[in-house]
Amino acid sequence: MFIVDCGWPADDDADDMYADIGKQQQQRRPNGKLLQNPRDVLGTINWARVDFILISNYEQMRLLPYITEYTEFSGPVYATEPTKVYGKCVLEEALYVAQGALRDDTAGSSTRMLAQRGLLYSSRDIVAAMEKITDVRHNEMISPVPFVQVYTRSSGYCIGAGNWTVEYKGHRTAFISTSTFVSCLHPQEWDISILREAQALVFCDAVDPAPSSVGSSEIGDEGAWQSAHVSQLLNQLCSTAISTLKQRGRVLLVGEPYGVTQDIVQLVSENIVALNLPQPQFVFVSPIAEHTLQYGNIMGEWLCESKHALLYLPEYPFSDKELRKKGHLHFVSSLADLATKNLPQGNWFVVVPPSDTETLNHFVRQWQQDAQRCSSADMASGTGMAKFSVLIHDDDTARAQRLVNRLSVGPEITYVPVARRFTFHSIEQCLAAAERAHHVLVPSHVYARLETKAGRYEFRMFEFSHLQATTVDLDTDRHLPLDIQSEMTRRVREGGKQHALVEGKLSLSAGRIRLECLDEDAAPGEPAAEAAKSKTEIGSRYNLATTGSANTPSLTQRDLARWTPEKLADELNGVGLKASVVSAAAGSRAVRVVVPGGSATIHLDNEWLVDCSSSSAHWTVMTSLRQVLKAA
Amino acid sequence: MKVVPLGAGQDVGRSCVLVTLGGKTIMFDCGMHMGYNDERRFPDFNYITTSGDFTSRIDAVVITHFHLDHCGALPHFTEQRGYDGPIYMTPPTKAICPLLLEDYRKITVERKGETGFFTSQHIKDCMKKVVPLHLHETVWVDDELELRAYYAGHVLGAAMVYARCGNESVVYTGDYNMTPDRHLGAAWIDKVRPSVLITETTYGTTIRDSKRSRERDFLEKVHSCVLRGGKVLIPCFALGRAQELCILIESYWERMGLTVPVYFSAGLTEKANRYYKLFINWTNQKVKESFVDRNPFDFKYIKAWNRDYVDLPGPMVLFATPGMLHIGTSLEVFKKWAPDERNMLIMPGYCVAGTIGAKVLGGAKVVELDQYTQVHVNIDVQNLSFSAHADAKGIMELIRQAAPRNVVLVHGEKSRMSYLKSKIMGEFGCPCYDPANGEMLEIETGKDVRALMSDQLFQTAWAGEQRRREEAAVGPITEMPVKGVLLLGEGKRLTRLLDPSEFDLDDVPVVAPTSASGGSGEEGASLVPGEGEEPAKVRFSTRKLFEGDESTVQSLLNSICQMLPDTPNSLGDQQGEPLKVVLGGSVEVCASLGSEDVAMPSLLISWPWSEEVLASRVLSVVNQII
Repeated sequence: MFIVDCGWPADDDADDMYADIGKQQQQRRPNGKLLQNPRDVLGTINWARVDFILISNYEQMRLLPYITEYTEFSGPVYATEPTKVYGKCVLEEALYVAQGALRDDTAGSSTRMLAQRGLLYSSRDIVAAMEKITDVRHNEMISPVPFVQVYTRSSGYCIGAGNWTVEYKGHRTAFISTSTFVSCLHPQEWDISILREAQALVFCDAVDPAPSSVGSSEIGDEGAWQSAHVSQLLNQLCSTAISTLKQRGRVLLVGEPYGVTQDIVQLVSENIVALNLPQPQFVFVSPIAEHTLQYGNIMGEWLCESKHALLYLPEYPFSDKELRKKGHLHFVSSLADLATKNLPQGNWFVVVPPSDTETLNHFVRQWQQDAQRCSSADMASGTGMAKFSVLIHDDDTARAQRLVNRLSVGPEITYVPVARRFTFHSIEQCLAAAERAHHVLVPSHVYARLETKAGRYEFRMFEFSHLQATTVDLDTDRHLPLDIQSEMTRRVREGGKQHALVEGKLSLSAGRIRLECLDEDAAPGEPAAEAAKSKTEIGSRYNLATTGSANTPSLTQRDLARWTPEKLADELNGVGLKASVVSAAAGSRAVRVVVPGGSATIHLDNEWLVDCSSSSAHWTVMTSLRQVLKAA
Repeated sequence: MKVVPLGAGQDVGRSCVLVTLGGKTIMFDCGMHMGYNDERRFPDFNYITTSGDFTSRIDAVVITHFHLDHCGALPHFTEQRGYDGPIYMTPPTKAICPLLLEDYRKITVERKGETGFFTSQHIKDCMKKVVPLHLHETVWVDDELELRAYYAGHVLGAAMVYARCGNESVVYTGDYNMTPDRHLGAAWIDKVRPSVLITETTYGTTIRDSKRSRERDFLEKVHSCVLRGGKVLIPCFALGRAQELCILIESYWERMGLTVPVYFSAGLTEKANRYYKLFINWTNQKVKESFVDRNPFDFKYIKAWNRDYVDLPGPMVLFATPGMLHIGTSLEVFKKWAPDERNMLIMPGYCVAGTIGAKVLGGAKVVELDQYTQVHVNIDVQNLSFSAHADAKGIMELIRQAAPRNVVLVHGEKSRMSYLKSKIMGEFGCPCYDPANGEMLEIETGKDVRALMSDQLFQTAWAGEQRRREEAAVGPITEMPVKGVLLLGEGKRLTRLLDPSEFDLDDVPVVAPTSASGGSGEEGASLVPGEGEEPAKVRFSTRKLFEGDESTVQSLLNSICQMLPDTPNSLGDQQGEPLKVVLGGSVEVCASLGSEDVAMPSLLISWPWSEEVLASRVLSVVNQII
């Protein structure tokens, strides 16, 4: 049993899904927003039985610290490296905002105190949870439990975001998390191969239009958003910002200091350079902005192709390094911090996360006052700081609307939702590419739209919804691919049989199942023992593998008698050893061989006696001796 | 499976190893030899084919890191020899490699005036063909051949590469380092059990002291030299070791409050450091965690070098390229500074035989730079091995991690290799080879048979194992016993392993289980040679020293017998000789307590040749115990 994603965004659909492979069924169980306490939901899962957790992107891990720290879950958690570092920032920011005024140190406070504040975990739990995450790379095969392999492919949604595929008995189930086809943003592009390979597809996330907007006109609107290319949306935001800055105004961008915001800031600063305008002061009001922006510059390998190419020049993928060098970039952790810092005045481009309403309100109020105070003369001469604009790019319309209502600003606001997530249109597109799919799971709201078309597809479609267990019987009566040690089949074949009852050991290493003979247990961990299975095999391995048939025991006593110490010494010298004839005790003569790591004396009596001074020496002597004897 | 070193076989330089596995051929590394200036500098590509059609012969080229002895011949191979297939590198290697190639090309063509060398355009075109290979990512070259890179820690972006095709697999280590240093982590690999492990052996015979003491040594030497007013010349590559030493010097200067100027010669300093800043992900954990607050590659004390500074009086420290004193700034400065005995030359890396660096290290007092110039070497020459290669201990550790079935040694001097070879064979009991350049090595790999296993059988076995584990409360299941009916495949039908209940017992009578002891018994019989001929009597014996007295000896023998439970032994039979055990009828383990010559007691293990298999098991058991 495993879980894909454990999100708990403030007022969004949380993604939380588990699939139980042991029973060959998959269930999805998103946490509904109606629930007051996430603990109740999490309580319905037997955490001790969850084997592992897969995280697809940094927005989908809000519940992770709670799960790893306060439940019986003890398995591994897998996420890509950017997901891990950004995830930590995202969680810390959320916690920071949630703590609000109670910003005193909560590390070390008990669970009950945290609970009283409505918090699930402390910052210390976040760190602890992050330490439990195993870094993976896209396309890296991992095997969290035997005979199950998982890997992730890029989803394009945000940096390091991926879609997980779980493979069991050659049956692949793909979990399409938040994804996007859009390719003009900074993250690595969407990897379509995930659709082509999978036998079962699960769409975990898709834009759910607000319940009120079921009317046909609304759907048309939505379609229009999708069709308007995202780069146009970005340009629209950017041009608003530029025109404000041109008039020496100020811009307030509402957005987290990661994701699309990075693209917008990049675009704005590039345009300013291109238009030869004075660079504004970029101010990020967030405790984590400095980290997230810096990480962007070292995660070059996770970025889109054009940014990836910059690495080889070498150039920084984002412009913030340049801005920082020129002193145009400032980070303040909060409003209070802003007051203490002395920042250069002038055109400001402020980035504030949407959750920090206090700061947002401050800026809006302050700038509105400025605008009122400003005389019309000033306006005319363009010296005043009158103009300002507020930009919002959140793709969740409902959330953005609430924010706008709270802010009480009028014409200054520009709302351009940069919609990147999959809509049901994109899911339709995906399904066209799903060549091998037998089963498809979609959220119920998508299912409602696609139901009519379901007959067209060759696979079965299922729906799922909040907290509802959906069972899909996978066609798993299959045979497992298996490697059998050749030794085993050889024995059966040699016995002239077509079939035989065999006993062996199944072992799983590097994601492959191998059936091995039991007698390998004899000396565990020693490759020597593995090699000791059959004499013929040994022969072919130890001889320089030119011919497999030359076995030493085929030599006879008569062969040995033909050798003299001189001849042996000569031959041994010929194969690169230092050998010399020495006289041993009792008048007989021997050959002394000096090899790195020791020496050996070969007494050529009726019975040859090879006396080696160390075990490393005997290997060398033995191989060479065999080579010499064989050649003769 | 075939392994052919085209370069670096029993040698250091121009690494290039061809491996054919499962019908696919991979070229690991494509380097040049710094010790030669003629055609011997490149690997002998004619070995592959003389027709010039390399693309059809080679399925992929993999470059492990950016050192020229691993990538130097690549533009030559792709642009001048016409190889057009895929090339794989890690992103940092892809970024840094063209820089070093261009640097080297400039020196060879513009200063030495060679013709026929590859051009800048060749380097650029070549790099366009490179496919990035990320760590741990599984890349499929085609439907059958898969590649995976592991962290090697030698330089930024260095990787070990695991390749698999069908049942055969290989790990090529490139250069690696098993101990983390100031800016890089340690090499690590999964237990991938490759058929063949091809490892470098540059420092195969030395076991080096701790890195920390070497660092202290280095700093003390530099400090003492600048205190006496001398100049310190440190020849090194522009990338890699240089950055590590710069970090060292930087922190030391800060701590000690020194003001002696430190210079870095190459013009690409700033650019080189930027590579390190961009690829911080490839450095170690410590650097990664602290980079937001302070990037260790932003140097405060280290400034750019100007040629005019060479005659300035007073102490200074200079990092100059290249590392082997064969050409360029480091040689120019060396010429000026070498006669003064106050000065110091620190060679932090390896010098290829034939270069001036190697001669100076060899203790030459007069060095001929060319036909006309001689330099008297009075400078204090210090060799500090900062070269990030694994030492003997590290190589053994890697072999233990990967658990290969065969080991091939390359990239080392022949004399050192043979020592390591015997050590590896002794300790791991796996065959070990050290082929020379152009020598083809054919290694038989125990081929596995592809088969299908019935689900029912697996479920039964799994459930049984799970129950057992739950009772015993041990870790996750990695292996489990299974008993089923093996049905051999014929033609297209795959071999199947079925549950006994699934097998139609009425059709064919089930034969008795083919157990291991039965199998080897039969083979034992077949080993008797010809009629009436007496088999050759060759008896091996080997000694092992250990510490202890009579009681430890007895317990030792007991435990040997316990570890080999399936082998008949004579323990306790012979009351007269308590210190002797005969295993399997003919392998004798005989203990002797200390004599006058040897203070420590020793074990004498002797066996006839025909009992080699049992003997090797006994030896490995003895190794485990002692």
